Amino acid sequence: MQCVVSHKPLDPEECRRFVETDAAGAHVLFTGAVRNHSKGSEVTHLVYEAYEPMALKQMQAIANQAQSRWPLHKVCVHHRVGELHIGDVAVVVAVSASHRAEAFAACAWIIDELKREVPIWKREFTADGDEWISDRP
Amino acid sequence: MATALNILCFGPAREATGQAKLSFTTVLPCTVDQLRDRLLHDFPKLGSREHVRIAVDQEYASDDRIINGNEEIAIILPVSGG
Repeated sequence: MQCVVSHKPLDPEECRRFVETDAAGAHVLFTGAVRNHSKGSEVTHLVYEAYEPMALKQMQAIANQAQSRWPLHKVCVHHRVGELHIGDVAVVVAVSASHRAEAFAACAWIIDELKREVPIWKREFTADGDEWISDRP
Repeated sequence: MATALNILCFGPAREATGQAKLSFTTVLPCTVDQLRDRLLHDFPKLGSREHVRIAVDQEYASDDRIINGNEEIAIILPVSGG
């Protein structure tokens, strides 16, 4: 298992390689990128801020829970912080398993759980101004 | 007795309190629930109480957790990572 909070650009290929193992028949890779619109406004860029030590602990706890819920071989979760522009990768989740069903299910669960529990916030900059996004569950 | 408790504030919580590291004078020990009420009283911009979580030593804390003053405390408003 590997979890990282990074101030530098993420490399999805590095995450995919991390979860490779001869026992795995399935690799699922999710990348979350900065899109150019939000609620009808044009987004120029985002700033992500983390409570880094707790964010890392939460990411590790989620990866551990995923490994206890599904028979996974490896899990890799990277999240970027700092200023990101359109198209930049903000988050990567990679999982490997013997078969695809558990790999798809675990990857989807991990990113959903990360968005609920990991103390990271985005500030959205649009043509209309900027604000912290505080997503209500 | 009233003690100055350091409370970490990130993102929207920093904006609501105006400080990244808040020195909050309060009576200790207290529960997480009591601390949340006192913070909401002084900083109504934190929003509605059901959306204010308190982390103690880098873990989400239950409402009845006792705070003595030697812990690392943080205000966690709804997160928006990913």
